[in-house]
Amino acid sequence: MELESLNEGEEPSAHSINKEAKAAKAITSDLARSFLEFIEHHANDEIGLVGCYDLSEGVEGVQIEFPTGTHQEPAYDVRPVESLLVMFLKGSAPAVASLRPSFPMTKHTFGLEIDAPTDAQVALCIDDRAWEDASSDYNGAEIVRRIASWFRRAITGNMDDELQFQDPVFLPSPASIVVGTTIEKQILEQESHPLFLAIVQGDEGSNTYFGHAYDDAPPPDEGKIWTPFLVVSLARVANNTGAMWRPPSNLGQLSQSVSSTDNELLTQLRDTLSSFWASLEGAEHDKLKTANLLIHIAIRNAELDRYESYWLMARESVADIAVGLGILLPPDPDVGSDYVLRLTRGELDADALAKVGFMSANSFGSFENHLARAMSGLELIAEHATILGVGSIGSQITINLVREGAFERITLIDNDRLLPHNLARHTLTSSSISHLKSSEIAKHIKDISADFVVKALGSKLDSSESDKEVQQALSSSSIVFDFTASVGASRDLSDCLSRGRAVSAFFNPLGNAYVVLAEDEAGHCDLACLEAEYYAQVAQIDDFADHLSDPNRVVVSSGQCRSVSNRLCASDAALLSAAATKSIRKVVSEPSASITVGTIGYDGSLQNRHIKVSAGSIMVEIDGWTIRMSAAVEARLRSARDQGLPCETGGVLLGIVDHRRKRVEIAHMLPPPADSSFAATEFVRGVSGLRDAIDQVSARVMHQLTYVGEWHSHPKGASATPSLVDHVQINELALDLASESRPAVMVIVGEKETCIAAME
Amino acid sequence: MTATIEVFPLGNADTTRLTLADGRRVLFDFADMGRSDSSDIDFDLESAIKNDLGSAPYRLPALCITHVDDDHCHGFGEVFWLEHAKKYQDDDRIKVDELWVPAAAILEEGLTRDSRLVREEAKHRLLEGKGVRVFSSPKILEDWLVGKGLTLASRKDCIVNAGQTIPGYSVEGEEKVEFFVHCPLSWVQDDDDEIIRNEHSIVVQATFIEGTRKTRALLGSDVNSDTLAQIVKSTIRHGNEDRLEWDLLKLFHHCSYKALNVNDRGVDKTTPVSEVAWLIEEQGQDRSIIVSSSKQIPTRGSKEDDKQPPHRQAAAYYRPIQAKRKGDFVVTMDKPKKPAKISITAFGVSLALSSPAVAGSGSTSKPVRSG
Repeated sequence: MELESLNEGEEPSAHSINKEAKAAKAITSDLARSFLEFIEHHANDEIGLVGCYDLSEGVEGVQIEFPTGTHQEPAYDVRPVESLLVMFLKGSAPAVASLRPSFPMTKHTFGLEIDAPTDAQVALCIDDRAWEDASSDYNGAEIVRRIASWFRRAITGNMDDELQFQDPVFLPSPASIVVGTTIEKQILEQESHPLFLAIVQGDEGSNTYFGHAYDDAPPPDEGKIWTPFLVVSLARVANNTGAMWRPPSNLGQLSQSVSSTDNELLTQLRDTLSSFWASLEGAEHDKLKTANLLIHIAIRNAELDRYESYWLMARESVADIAVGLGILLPPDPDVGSDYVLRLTRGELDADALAKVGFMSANSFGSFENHLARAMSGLELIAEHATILGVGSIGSQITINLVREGAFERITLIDNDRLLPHNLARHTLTSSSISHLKSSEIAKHIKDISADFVVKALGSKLDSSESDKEVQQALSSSSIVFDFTASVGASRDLSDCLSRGRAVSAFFNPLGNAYVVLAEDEAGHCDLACLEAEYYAQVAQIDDFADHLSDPNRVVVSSGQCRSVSNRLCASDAALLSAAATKSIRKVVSEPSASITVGTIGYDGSLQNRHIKVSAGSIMVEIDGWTIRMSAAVEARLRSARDQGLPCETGGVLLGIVDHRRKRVEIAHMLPPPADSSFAATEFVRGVSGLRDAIDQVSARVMHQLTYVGEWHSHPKGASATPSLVDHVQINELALDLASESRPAVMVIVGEKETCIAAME
Repeated sequence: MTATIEVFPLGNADTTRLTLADGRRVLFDFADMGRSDSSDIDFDLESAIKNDLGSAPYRLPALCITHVDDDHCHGFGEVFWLEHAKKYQDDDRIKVDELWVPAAAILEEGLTRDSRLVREEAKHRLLEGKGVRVFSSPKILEDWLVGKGLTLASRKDCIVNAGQTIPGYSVEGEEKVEFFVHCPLSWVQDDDDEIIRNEHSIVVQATFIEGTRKTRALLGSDVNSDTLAQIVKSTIRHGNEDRLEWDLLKLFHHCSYKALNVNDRGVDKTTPVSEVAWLIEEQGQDRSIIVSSSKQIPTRGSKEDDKQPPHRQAAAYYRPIQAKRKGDFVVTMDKPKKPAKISITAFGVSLALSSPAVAGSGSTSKPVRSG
């Protein structure tokens, strides 16, 4: 190493504490006394006590020599022993200032206030938490632990840990100014035309203000006008080492607090004001002259690759400030002149600038999707989503997803209107009664995020009705949510060909479970198919025995199995809606089709069952009827055939029959009755207990499944082509079901293929 | 494990414990000054060393007595198992696998107490031809061996000379350390023609490796600036400058000015002779640590500001250098209750700290009974 000069005093001398030392025993702060006690008795003589001070009214200081344990290659310039001043302020966190002038501005440091009772400039941020939250954890040992932890991290360079997250650039201010996205854009784009804002206080007594475009501001109190604030945005890139900056308290401090030598903010400010002054005329010029100054400081936090900003609000006129900045000459009463632009800029008037006090304010943009995602930590689901039904579950899931930033825009479709009983579990309030739920939810969303793009349609998805707006919404959405709790709407949506992937969510009638049916990404397993499989699962799985049982607690009759008018308490509705939202997030991230059922236990716990559903189906059409069997059902039939080999086997088929849509969805098969006979080339389905078995299943699924026909297997090597006997049988079945005005179905499972035969 | 070097707070006296990466301990000097009735040292060195070694029977792989001054071997006869006399053999003593001494320790006449016991033990081991390393081979050692009916060649495995590394220690081994011997220099002793105890003492450079980083510790004894100048010149002559680089310097002679400039203490600051200036200023590394095994540095005019080390003038030389290179200057008696402990990390030396305990860790780490 090179040592040009080894004289003592090479290192700049330590910052001074210009106060009389006082005896340690004269320290009065409880925390300071605990700190001293720890140093004296429990710190293994490692921490050197240098002195105790009364720094200012109510502020005591303890100066220490703190061993850091640094090695020879620390990430930041940490010395083996650091001289620190720990300041104890009543009601505030202890401030730990470094007395070494060359102390690095690392992350988790911040500049001390200029009028702090020490010359020290850098303080170690040993705790991010608000003092009200942190103070109960503090004693002398905790201060030492936190200082030691701070240095340990500075030595390794891993400054962020579970105790301290990454810092913002600025220390927070007590006040905040909120501006909308439009104004924020105008500010950041720094248009050449000046932007005037009206700064309107939020609730009386609050420190939150709203920045409105001056001409769009809400009307002020009678006889008053809003003071125009000229917004000047000063931006710089902070090659941020992480140290937090304290907003300057007056214009004179702007340079020393925020500027760097190659990015002088005062120069930027002078340039901007000069340019405005020279370019404006008439009323705009008069407004400029009398306007107050609102400086928007935007700094790119290089560390976190994000912009951070804050406001500095001055209560002096722009014209007077411009005089101090050497831009204007002040009015001269002797000659009666007004403010005059100087031909060549004058010197900065340090005294005048120091008198321009700032009120600093945190900068808040409005709550928009980017922020929603940042706050939720979740991703965009789709750019555009269409939501059918904003009733109880629909409103809650929709609001959850909006607050999470799941979409850039949504279309809400619901023709229902809010009624008093809806308030039991809807997100809307009584002021919306009689209004369209879709429009009211759209307003609610706008109240959450004014810039959110939402369209409300007071329509209803109906296969017989061709609503262009609805069709357009469906076709332009990559995802469509069915929260209608209506079997019919869900099936109609399923039949709609031009649309995005559909996901349906509803509560069960008992009100103790939610169900999410998710189509597969490729569109091979639609909602109707999933509905059939859902019933099949309810019929088969023991845990679901009561899932679709009717609690007979209908408050408002509507007759549908998923009617929202069942008795269901608000907390369960909220819990199930939130859980359903999470399930939706999961299922849309997977390509496969699935059924998710989440059931609340008596203790409030939630048990989820997630069933993946195979895509694909076999379909036949006959006399205007479509008969379909999903791949999942076929797989179960084939498995039964395999078990029955070498004999044929079979049984009855249950399914959904939809006379309106002329659809039969084969969903479930029953095992062969006990009196059935099995042979290598023949199967005779018996009857013993069959009617009871069908009735049981039917009751278990709220009569959504009914008898649709028969199935049987063909032996090894045989095709699925109906035999002569099969033809006779299908005719008999058709005759039997003629009274139901629907075709009979016979499914034959052969060696390789499966055949659906139907006859009406 | 992380190698450490601990320098014990014993006043103006030396004991330095090296805990190597393989767990082996090497002790440089043993001066249990707290045993002396007149001593104001209350550090219990014997317990500290024994507790570290575990429970009896205690075994220490290597003990180096750099020279036989009392402040480097006080208590030797009471603490260690000595092979040369049954009187010093009981189960509570520490058995030393290898005793390292300078040749002068064997040859010096007129010694008493612990110094004499070091000499007798070293002689015994050398005559036995095992359990000893004698540093340097001046002519008078050869003569002494011949007088005992032996030859230098017959004891070559017991002898290590300046310019060599001590056998059994390698940066490639699990111990991850090697010791390069700087002193005593055989030819100097031949020229001196008499035993000059301090100047014929052992000085070694320990080179540790951790990760990919070499960390060097220069373990000084009580040599003065003349001897250091000879070491520097000899090292440079052999092109071994890196053997005098240091990240840790266990300071020479308890921060005596004599190690800087034997002829001139200076009024406020000692000006070192050029070779020593090179050793301190050029060979010391950024953020290095100097440990002075000494009493606290006296202030000007205090009663301790006298002929005895530590000398404030010497400290006034070292301190700004260390400050400028962002290093540290540690005085053992500034913290008299515990040794200055230096960890050898993959990023160089660091002063080891006892981090503030988690609340209740004292109670929860031991059984608590109530009746």
